[in-house]
Amino acid sequence: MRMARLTKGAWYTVSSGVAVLFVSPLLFGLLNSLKSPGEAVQIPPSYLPAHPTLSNYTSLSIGGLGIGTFFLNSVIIALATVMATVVLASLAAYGFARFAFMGSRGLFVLMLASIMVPFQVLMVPLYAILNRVSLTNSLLGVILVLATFQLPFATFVIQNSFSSIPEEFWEAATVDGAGAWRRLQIALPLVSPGVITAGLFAFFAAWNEFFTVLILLSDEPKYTLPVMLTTLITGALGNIHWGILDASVVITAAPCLLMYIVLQRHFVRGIMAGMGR
Amino acid sequence: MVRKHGPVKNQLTGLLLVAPALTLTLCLFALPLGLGAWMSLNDWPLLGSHSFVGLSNYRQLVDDSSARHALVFTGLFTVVIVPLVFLLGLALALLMQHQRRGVGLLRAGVIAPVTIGFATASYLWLSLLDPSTGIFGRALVDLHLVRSPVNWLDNSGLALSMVVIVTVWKLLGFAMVVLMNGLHGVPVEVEEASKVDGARQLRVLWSIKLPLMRRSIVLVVIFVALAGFLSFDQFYILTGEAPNNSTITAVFRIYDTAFIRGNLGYASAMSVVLLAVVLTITVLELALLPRKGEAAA
Repeated sequence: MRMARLTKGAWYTVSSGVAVLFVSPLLFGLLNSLKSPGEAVQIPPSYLPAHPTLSNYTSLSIGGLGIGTFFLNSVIIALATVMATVVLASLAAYGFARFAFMGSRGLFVLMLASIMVPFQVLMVPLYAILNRVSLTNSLLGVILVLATFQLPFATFVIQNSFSSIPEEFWEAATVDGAGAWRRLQIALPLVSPGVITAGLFAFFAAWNEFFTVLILLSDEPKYTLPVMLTTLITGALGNIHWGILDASVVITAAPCLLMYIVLQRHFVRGIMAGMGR
Repeated sequence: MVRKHGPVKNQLTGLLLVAPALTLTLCLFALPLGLGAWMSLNDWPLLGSHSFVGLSNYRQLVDDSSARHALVFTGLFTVVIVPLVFLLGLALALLMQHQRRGVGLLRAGVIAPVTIGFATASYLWLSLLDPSTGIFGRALVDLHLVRSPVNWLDNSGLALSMVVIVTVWKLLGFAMVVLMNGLHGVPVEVEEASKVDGARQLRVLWSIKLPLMRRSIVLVVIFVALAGFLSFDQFYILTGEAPNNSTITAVFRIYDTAFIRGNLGYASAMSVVLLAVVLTITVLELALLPRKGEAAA
């Protein structure tokens, strides 16, 4: 390729430079989080922590609650959202792919079209509805909302996986006398790429969600990590404990980065699947 | 996959399988969609009872300069980030498109920010850009780019540029992945042929490759435009109720109207208008997609 008539050395220099530029905010956040309280307020700041300490990770306290509480809330919301999304979307995708019923085609298209309506513009009526059934200020309410808005994409991706299974597979299974439920069970390993992609995106969406949680939850002990961060900087500005904020940011970002590193292939596949529509 | 509907028993199975997802979607998508429209015709306080007021919320909205400002501001923000993310994303895609030892790791570095949330990213940058204790302030001084650390929150122009930086940092990896996929979809022969013709690289890119990857381009533009038009987190966290409310986005205005001022009816009218704007933009952009049968990557 001529565009890259850059020599090998030049290419590596430029590309590494770019990559470092992108990663550096995360890296500096991590380094800052290891500074002692005294070093964290030093002016000008130091690049590397002089005496690395984990104290910022243990000293967070909001109304007596440590970071563990908020981490647990985030885990509950993320895992439950992933489970609900994956189970409901898999069932629906199986139904759409294998058991066409009157109007199923139209329903599927309608479901995909609903992606065009962003949840932000439905937050006000959603709040009114959930309030009516006492699901505001409840983790369950947040989970249901997050799962609902993950369903179209998840169903679409998993349905694609079902469609790619050759017809012979189903015929063989039917000849063996497998019922609808049993056939779904034996097909699951074959659709697992779609299921993992759907689950991964549901995880990122739920773990990182800020707007929905900010609106639906009002008790601090129920906050997820991203919303808990607001309580660290509101209050008297200038009184921010940067070390604790950075440590909390690291804890909030780490699961996403780990998940991405482990499931990289599925992440890129998901972005591409999103384009297929 | 066009298939005749099977026997009744099969149809029933299908309906049963779809039912749970459908129920949730009806309750928490279709119902709020309808209720939102109805609420916009009511005086609907956060607490207490509501009453029908017809179109008066919309009439009020037409004369509401702060709401108009929010919509215009959001549009301008979007107009700034879309070309930025697209052009930088294209540059990165061109740089990192080929298989080389270690390229996967370098790509992962650019994609990493995509995976963390906008809220998390905003807090991270807030800390890094703090004029006294932020590391970037010192780095810029040490690199002799500025004489003293920049106070980003000092004025709204700088605060806005900080939001733009965070947003671009978060979205670039996504644009790179999609555009790289587009570049890979350009047939090798096309590239070979243009080489034989001795066409210049930039020309080949502009007049041959880009038109062939229209699909990727349109999807990046739609995605980034939606991200821009619906942005809230970065503004709420980084600029807040900034100097003279100049950096309030549309979603921020809705949030403020509904949940701070407690006027759900008026906020619903704003939501309906925002939905109309967002849908119009999406549909217009989708119309730019290549038709079926046209070569597209």
